[in-house]
Amino acid sequence: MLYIDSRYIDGIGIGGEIMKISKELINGSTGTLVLSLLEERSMYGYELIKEIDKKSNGIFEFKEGTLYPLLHSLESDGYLESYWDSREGKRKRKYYSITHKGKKELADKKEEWTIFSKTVNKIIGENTYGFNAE
Amino acid sequence: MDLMQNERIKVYMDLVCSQIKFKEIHKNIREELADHLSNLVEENMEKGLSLEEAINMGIKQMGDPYVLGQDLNKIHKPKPEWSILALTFIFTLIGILAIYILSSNELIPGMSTYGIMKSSIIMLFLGVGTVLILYFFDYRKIKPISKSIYIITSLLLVVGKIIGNIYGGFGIFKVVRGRVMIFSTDLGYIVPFLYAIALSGIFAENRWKKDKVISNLIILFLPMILIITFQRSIIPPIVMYFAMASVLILVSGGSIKYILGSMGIGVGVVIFLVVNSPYRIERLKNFINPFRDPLGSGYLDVQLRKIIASAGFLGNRININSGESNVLNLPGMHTNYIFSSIIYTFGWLAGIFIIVLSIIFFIRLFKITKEVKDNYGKLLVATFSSLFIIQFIYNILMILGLAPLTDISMPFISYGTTLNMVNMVMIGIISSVYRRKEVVGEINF
Repeated sequence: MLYIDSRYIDGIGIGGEIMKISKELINGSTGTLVLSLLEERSMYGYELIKEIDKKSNGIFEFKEGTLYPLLHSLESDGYLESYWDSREGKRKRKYYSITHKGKKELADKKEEWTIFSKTVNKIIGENTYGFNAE
Repeated sequence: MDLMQNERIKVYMDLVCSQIKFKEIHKNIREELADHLSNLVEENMEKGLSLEEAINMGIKQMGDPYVLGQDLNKIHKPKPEWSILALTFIFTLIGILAIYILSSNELIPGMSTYGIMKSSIIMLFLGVGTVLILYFFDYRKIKPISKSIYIITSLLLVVGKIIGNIYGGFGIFKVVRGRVMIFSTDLGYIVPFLYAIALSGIFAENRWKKDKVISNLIILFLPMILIITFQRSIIPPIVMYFAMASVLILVSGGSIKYILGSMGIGVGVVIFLVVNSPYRIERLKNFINPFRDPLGSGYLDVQLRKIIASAGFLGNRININSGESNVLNLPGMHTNYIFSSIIYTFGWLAGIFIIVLSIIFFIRLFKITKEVKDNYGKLLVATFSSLFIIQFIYNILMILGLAPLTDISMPFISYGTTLNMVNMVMIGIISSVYRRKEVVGEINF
């Protein structure tokens, strides 16, 4: 199971004034977000932060203090692996890519999330639109 | 932009690293964070800030260095590889127990039970001490002297033989029963291990390029030639070296062509050696048909088969004190053939138990090899693993009558000071690599 320390959530900032998302909501899903971005291609830390910012239209803002411990723990759990790109004349850069184990974990998490969000939508949806006949 | 040298950034990194107890990972973390900070600074400068402002802003964006350091510290706490250490310990204890039983039944000539137990237990403590010291020692310190180790090992083979021939032993060299010893230690056992260390360092940088094919072949085959020319007891070191070199080629990224080629040469060498020696032909014939000369050269083959055949599922433990104990009254029952003593005394169940443990041991070694990131560390673990695996497998096959008899012992279980010391050193270095498996790159002196 993917275990993410609840303190990591403190690092997630909520972008701009557009919307407020409580920390509890994001609890546990940071690892899934990182894994799903890395499923597409290998990335380095800075690139990941930019990518999350772009994909979420600035709603999720990963902080460095969250991202690196998260990446390192995902790596030591075997969900990610890393390699150094050290071409001459260029800065050394550490790239992360998803492992087979990471892909499996991601698939599980996606399924869990789909069921969860569907169920929540169903319940909230009924309440919001007043279909809850009394 | 390289900001590693910038004073403010340095201070930031120092603060992060001050929280991370595992020092060897500091360099990697610094490099990763420096790259990140450099990106932030470049981005800030594009927005129109001055370098100094951009740096200050970047450091602010990075967040609290203490919190980051503490979080990273929790992830980078080095752990020993307990399964390998536990298995090594169990193997050693099995060996001590078997030796005790053999010795108390007076089956180990020339040594008292007290004497052999004392030396076994001293070896156990020395082994634990060696592993402990090597665990904390950074294995990357050996890498710069790889070439020297290669040259010294090759010289040892040559010089040892020459001095041994002239003086029958001189200074640190001795010749005992046709074997060159250094500090009364059998070279044949140390040589494959020393070459494994040296070649891991030499092949850690990718050497499999077209212009290096010839030099690679020379580096890999020279030891074989030296062993054949200068060692009296050739088969054990050649078999061990050959297994080690094949794994080295495979793990260091040599193409299948080289592996097949070297296998061809290896098999060719062994056939050549066997055909050229009447003694070895005799051994091979005895292996194929042990009963062709049951009282002469095939005596040991026949006796070992008898022992195995008379072992029950739970062993003959009780009978050992009766007249039957003569069965085990053969040379080498506590060294090369200890596995057959164990099967006889404790039965097939014990034999299967040891085989299962050794398979678990192999699987753990494979896993460690995969987990280690640094190329040099990976090669060390891979080559050492191959040395352990070949010793276990050959010894087991030999006892079961599936391979010709030769001087290959069962690691940790067989009695033998040199061999077990070499094996313990390998376990120590594997532990050292495992402790630093996340660490990549050269050491900072």
